[in-house]
Amino acid sequence: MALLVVRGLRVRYPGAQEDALRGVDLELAPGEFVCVLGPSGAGKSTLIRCINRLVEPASGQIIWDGHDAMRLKGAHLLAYRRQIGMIFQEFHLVDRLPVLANVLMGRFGYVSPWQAAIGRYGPQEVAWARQALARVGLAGYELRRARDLSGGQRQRVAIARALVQRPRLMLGDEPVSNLDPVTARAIMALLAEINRRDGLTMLINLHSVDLARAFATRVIGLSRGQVAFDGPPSRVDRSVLEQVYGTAG
Amino acid sequence: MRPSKARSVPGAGLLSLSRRTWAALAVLIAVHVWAAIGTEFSPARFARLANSIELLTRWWPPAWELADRILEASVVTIQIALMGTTLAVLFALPLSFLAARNTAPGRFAYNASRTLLTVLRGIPEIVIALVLVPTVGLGPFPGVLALFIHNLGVLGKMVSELIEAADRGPQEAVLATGGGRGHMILFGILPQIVPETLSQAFYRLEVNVRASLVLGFIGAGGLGHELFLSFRVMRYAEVLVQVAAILVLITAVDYASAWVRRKVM
Repeated sequence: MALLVVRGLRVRYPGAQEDALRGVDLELAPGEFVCVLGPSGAGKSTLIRCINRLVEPASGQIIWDGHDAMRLKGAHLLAYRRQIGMIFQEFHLVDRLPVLANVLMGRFGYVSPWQAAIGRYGPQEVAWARQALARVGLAGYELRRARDLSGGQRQRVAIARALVQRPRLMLGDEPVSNLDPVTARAIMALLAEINRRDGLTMLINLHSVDLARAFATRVIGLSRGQVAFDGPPSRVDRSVLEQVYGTAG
Repeated sequence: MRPSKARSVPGAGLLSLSRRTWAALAVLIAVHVWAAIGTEFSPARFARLANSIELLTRWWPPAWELADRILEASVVTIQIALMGTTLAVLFALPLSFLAARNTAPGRFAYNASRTLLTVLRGIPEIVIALVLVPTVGLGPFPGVLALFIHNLGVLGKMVSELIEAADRGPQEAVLATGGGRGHMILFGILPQIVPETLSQAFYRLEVNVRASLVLGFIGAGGLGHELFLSFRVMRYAEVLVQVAAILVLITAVDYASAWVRRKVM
């Protein structure tokens, strides 16, 4: 059964002339590594923000694990979101806090704000945080301040933060666009390894066609708010790219 | 070589202003001419500069024998300013989350707290102190309360604007983990606004040292009270020492502020 089904998703931002998404259909099977390609403004960010309900669609369906996720509210919405990890282009760590506190943010769905403020987490949660840090190659960095790390290291911390959510889906909003090519490839390789070993489903927006070809099990091309291509990376050729990005470049 | 006959091209330079902007500037200048007339602004009067210099010569020599008493008064002044400022910061922080568009629990709370802050900010400290004296009596305490209430209004507005300007990224990241409003405020916003809030708090401390002087005129004690007494009996030698003490206080606050900012930023 599909992990996530998206049907007829439409989004219009307040004051915008056109829909940001114009009827997107999408199905994700567990264990897939899906990369979303498309020019700036095609709706890539909007699509993944709709999936974890950071952006409210005008219409359409989001079905998570067989259940309607569109009507979730309050505690149910938070419970839904904690099953979905997310990483960002700008990492979005709390720069002033130590790495460990940033990773444990992934447990916010389970601890009260005050418990989080005084750093009161269960031993199991702290153990998961340390394991996650080791997993992303940052064992021993627990007490370093997030802002003292390099871009690649910060994205690793953000991945660890998402992992301690113990998510069933990982969303990425251009997570490597702010990194140099070598670091970008290393981060993609890390995501691919997590995908393979844990079977964690990935839905990652990318700017780089090469990285999508190298790591994705499936590529989706978005163009002007619609799916223009959906298939294996081997089928991403010149004509597909023209279709997705437009010939004007 | 630079081509000859260069001329201003519309839209090319810093001063390529539209007709409307030039009109607005003209209005602005007119308003200031009007204000200058209203305030009897007149550089010609500096012809009598000698009068002020003559006054200043009567300040010398400073009355250092009063140093002990002035030191004591300085301590009271800094205590008034410190209590007023710290209380204002502590109460302004929670209030500003109600008064920021992105964190207010609703339109009513937003409008009510905005209005409250404006009212608090609008009442001068000295009026608040005068109103409170019959209740709490004379002395430094009404001064502390007056500074607290006025600065609550000032800092509440400043901090709520910091909250509105905070980077959305970390807030989004908190929501994406399944965190709620409380998590978002504590982790997504608070760490971002701490340095600038501290910086503003220190600036208000400096302003409050000066404001407490005026409150001293109505009996709040401290350096202001001393200054008022010496001025009234025209003992300018004492005034000189008091002004020196004020300068030292302001400078000390400034250094403390720079030190803390270096540590926190």
